[in-house]
Order: sequence, then structure tokens, then C-alpha cells
Amino acid sequence: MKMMIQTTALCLFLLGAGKINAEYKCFYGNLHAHTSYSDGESTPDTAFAYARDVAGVDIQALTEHNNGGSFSGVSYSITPEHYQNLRLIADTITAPGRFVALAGQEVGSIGSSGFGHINVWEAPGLWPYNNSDLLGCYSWILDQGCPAMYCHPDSSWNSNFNDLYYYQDYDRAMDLIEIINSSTLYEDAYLRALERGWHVGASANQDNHRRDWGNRVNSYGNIPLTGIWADTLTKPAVLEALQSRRTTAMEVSPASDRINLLLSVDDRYQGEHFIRQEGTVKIMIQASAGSDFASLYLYTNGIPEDTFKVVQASPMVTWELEKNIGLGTVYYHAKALQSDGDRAWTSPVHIDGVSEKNPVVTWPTPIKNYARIVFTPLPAAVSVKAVIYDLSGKLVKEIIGSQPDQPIGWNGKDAKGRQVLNGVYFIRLEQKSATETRVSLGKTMVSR
Amino acid sequence: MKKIIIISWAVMLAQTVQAQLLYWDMPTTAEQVVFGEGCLLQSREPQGLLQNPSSLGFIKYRTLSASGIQWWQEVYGGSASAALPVRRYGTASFSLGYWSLGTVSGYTEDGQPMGTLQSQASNLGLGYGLVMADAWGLGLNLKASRLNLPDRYDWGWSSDIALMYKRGLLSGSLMVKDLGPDYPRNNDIRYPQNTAYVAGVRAEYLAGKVSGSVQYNIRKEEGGYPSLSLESYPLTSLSLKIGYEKIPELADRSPLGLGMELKKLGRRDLSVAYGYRSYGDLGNIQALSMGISF
Repeated sequence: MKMMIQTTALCLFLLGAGKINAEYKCFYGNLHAHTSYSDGESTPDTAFAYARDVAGVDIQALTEHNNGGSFSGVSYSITPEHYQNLRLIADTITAPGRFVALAGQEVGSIGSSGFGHINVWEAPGLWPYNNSDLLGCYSWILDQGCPAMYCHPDSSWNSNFNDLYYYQDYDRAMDLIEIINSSTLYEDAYLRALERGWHVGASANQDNHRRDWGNRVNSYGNIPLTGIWADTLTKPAVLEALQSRRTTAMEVSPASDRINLLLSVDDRYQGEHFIRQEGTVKIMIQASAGSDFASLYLYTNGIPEDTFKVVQASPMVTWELEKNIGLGTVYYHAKALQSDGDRAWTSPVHIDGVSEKNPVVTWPTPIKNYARIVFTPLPAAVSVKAVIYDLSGKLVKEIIGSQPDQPIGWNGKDAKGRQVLNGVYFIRLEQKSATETRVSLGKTMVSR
Repeated sequence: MKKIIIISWAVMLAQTVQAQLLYWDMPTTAEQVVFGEGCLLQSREPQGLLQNPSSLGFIKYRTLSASGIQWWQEVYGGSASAALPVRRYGTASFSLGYWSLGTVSGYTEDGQPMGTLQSQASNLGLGYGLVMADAWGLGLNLKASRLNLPDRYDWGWSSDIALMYKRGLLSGSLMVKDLGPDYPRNNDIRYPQNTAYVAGVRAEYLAGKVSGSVQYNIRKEEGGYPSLSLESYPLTSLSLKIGYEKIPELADRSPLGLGMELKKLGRRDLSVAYGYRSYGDLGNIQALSMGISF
């Protein structure tokens, strides 16, 4: 059963941060831009000041090329000295509550042996570039612990990251993907990345190389921006939001017509990933902007299964519906279409549906190389731990879950890093809340 | 008269070993459940004697034994063994084992159900032991195992060699267990066998109404650990058994195993034994064994 509610109200839309939720506010940013520190114009301090004072964005990142590239024998790749200076300038110009400046680097190459470009923000140092080593790049990003984004992911040229091949070990390395870069739409790449298995969020950016940081109008007359849902406008909060994929990609026109598009599933927001028992979930899509909305779409596993036509044109719309989820992974994301043609996309909410009958299982089973341990979550759990045993009861590995309601990854190796032999293995899962400890048992199989 | 037990440890050979599950080491009999590795020395029942080939030569009657074990999580095992004295040449043994590893729900990477998966393991053992000078037992076991999975199988083989000295109510044994090539043979992912070096003594007291053994085992990954076993006869045909063995790698396994046995039933010297051990949250295991000599 679907329930649809349209709420029309006066849009008290503020230029700058938009508020649609008590927990998070949407801050608007441009996460991809350059200056003369690589192949753009002007200097970082000028660029940040322009983005803040002229374009009026809340967050501006400068992501200078770091790939050893050159034009006519002259290197355009950022030097280590310039990068440290960029970080210093970004820290200096950042004013909590008003503006956040991010120092970044655009790594990788789109040359014939390259894998594409990846933006990394606020890494302590520069990537020791090896433009053909995609896995090495993922590994380096994981080591830095910084948010990262696929840039202009075009499958028709050397910017497709091995056709977005999914590496479970590096899932946490990548946080966002550009749906829009300047004038080009990469929605198909966004859907393909999700289908491949990546847990990436939506982003739209300008890739500025000229003096138009934050308000570059593309060839369609729109300004791409990324909405970042954070509790405060501080650098740590913004970085946390990026790594949590709590983002909205949008194109706006005019500049003041910024879009708030927030998706929640069972009160969990875009970018989140959690386990729940199979059954009915409550989905809410909230949209507000400076101009009217025409339609909202809910994508289920990348397919627009549900559409909400806005009958009475309104700049503020709330759509609630219910969906049944069964066993397995399902992900939802929302898309909004305004009457003037502007669009916005949310990051997805990923849900792993489990059955109460099998409280602990692995996906896949049998396991070849990597599996996720999924389980029936304990309400209000604060920690989760999986202990894997072989048939004889010998302890193979103990893994602490990073989040109490997210799957636990197991690479099929024991505590000493050796691949385990084929056979049946047992999982003892321990979940703790403030008042309860729940132990569940499961069985899986390794066959390779 | 008190008997003094002198324990002399064998020199343990250093060898690179890795702890990996070997199906032929999984306990299937009641005494294996109670005594753990201590069964190698303590057992005097057919189902246990076949574990230590050096004791085979002391079996002077044809014996048959069968055991079943309930593991946890819908896993069940069973074994059947026979020992046949070959006149003055010694005693041969033959054993078969089977493990039903139960069912596992199959899933794709994104959690779509793929039906039910089943797997089994089977073991085959051949042993031979002989006695020299009425006191020294020497024996050899050859063991093979095959694990069947839905889309493939793994197999491997191993051997045990053992020496026993038995005089009166006192006996001692040295054993090298699980000696063989990397396991499994037909998989790129294979490891050296977890070879064990075992030494211990067993003594009887009060005309055999009480017996006990002390044994020390070394496996590289588990380190060294002792096995202590005790058996007593409150009644002529009833024995109570207790084993103590604490292996750090088996953190959830209770160090104590408990069991009982009804012996010398009927004219065919029938025995029925039961063993129990807890594995904490994982569950409990219990086994039932029957043996007959004729």
C-alpha cells in the first residue's frame, strides 16, 4: 500500500543553508575546482573569497591536479609546497558557521593507460602518483581516511575506473560520484556504480578552471552544486557528511533557486546503510526550493518504480510512501524535477533485508573471497562483534563491526591473514545495547 | 601398594605446522568426547583403542565398534571400526567415518536466496599394530578424508606412528599424529598438516578399578597442552569417566568432558558408552558408542 501526502506550504527559503530537517541542514558546495596551482586561473585565496562572497556557496573545494601531467613540457601538477600552502589557506579562510574551504587534489589520469580522475579532500599529503594503479589509489585513499569522489565517470573514454568494477575491499574508499560535471550528465554512471555494488553518494560540481568558482553556469544555463547535509557548517562536520554520503546533487537556475532534497527510510537518511528485518519500510521524500516542483521519483535498485506528480505546483513538497522489502539488498534514491527543468538527486539509502528465521547469514554463501555477515539487528544496539569458528570449534577470526546495524565484512581469512580452507564455519554474533546482550549463531560455507 | 608414575617426555621435533581442520581428527566416539586427545592413552575400549595404532597389537579378540555423535548446529557424525588379530603377525584395523555438515542457506552477493546447500565429509582409516617382547607395541595408521561441497570436493591423507610400552598396570606411549603432505591435495589453498607430538603414561590402581593417564600434546599453533583422564568403577559393569583438556584455540570448549560406560554386557563382552562436553554458546556435543569383542 502506498500513501501519498502532498504538503504545500509557504516556502521560507533562505539563501544559503536550507533547513528541512531538525537534525541536519543542507549546505551548498562546489567540490571540484582549480586555480593556477594546477591548470586553472588565479590563486586559492582569491578563489575561496570569490566562492564565499560572490557565488555565495557555503563550501568550496579546490582540487588541484596531482598526476604528474604537463602541457608542452610545463607541469601543471600541484607541487608538495603548493599543496601544503593550499591547506594552510583553506584552514585560514574557513570560518565555522559561515564558510568551509577544503583543500583537495584530483588524482589519476585520463590518458590511455589511466583509470580516471578521483578527487580526495583534506588528505595530509599528496598521492605518490602512479596513474595506472587504480587499486593502489584506492588503498592510498583508505590509508588517508579522507573522503573521495569519482570525477566525470565517462564509460566512453579513459575515465571509467575499470568500468567501475567493484572491489569490496575498497568499498569504503569511495564516497561520492559526480552526476554532473560542468555541462555533462553522468546519471548512467551513478546508476551503474550502485548496481556494481559501490556505496557512493550523489554530487554535482563545476570543475572550474576560470574565475567563476561556485557560480559557473554550464551550457544549459544551470549551476551544478552539491547539497551537503551536516549538523553545523564546520570542516569536521562537512567531512563527516561527505564520508557518510549525506549529499544531494543538483542543478540550479537561477543561483538562488537551490534545492533541498532529503530522503529518509525508517528515519534513516540518504547515504546510510543498515540492516533490518524484511517487512514494510516508511519512506519520506522532502523537497523544497525557490521554485515549483513538477515530479518526484523514487528509484528502487536504480529503477524509477514510483512517481509522484505534483498536482498543485509548489516549492515545498513532502511525499510519504511505504514499501515492502524482502530478503537481500535494496537501495532507494530520490530524484526531483522542477517545473523549470532543474533536477536534483539524493544519495541512496541501502538496506539489507534479513529474515528472523536465519538471524546470522553471509552474503554470498558459499563464500569465495569476501562476504558480508548480515544479522537481525538488536534495537538500540551500540556494538556488534562476529566470532568465526571452524567445525572443530577453533576460533578462526574475531571481527568488530564498525556500526551496530551494518553488515560485517569478512575476507575469508583467519586471524593470521591466511585464506581458510573449504568447509563449514560457524558465526557467533554478539550484539550489545545499554540493557541487553544478544548472542546469535549462524552457519556458513566456504568453497573455492 | 602405591604405584609411582614416572613421566618421561619424548623429544619433540620442531616442524612448521599450521592449525587447519582435519576431518579425521574430529571426535566421533564417546571416549574422544570425554578425554579429547587423552583418549589416545586412556582408552581401553575398541572405539578408543583404534585411535592409537600402537595399542592395536594388544587386542587379542576380534572387535567391532560403532559410534554416533551429535554436534551443534545440525551437524552429525558417525564412525564404525573393526579390529582383527592376524595370528602372531599383529592386529589390523579398518574404520570408516562420516560427517553430515548439515544444511546452509545459499545466498547471492546481494542477499537473494539460492536454496539450500549441503556438505559432507567422509573418512577412511587403516591401521596395523604388533607387539614385540610381550611389552612393546608398535603401530601405524593411514587415514584419508574427503570433503564434499556443492560444487567441488577436497581430499587428503595422513598417517600416525606410535610406540607403546606396557608392563603390568603401567603403560606409556609416544606418538606422532597427523604426519603427511599438505592438506588438501587437490586445492591451491593448502597447508601443512597440524602434526601433533604426543607422550604420556597411564596407570591402573586398585586392581584396575581406577585408572588415569597424563599426556602432553604439542601442536605448533595450539602450543603444548596436557590431557588428564580418569576412569573409575563404582560398580563392576559401570564406569564413570572424566577428562580434562584445555586448548587455548578452542576457547569456547569446556575443559571438562564427562561420560559413563556400561561394560561386559552379555556373553559377547558388549559395551555401551556415552560422552558429553559443552562448547558454551556454540552448543553441546554428545556421543554414544557401542563395542563388542568376540
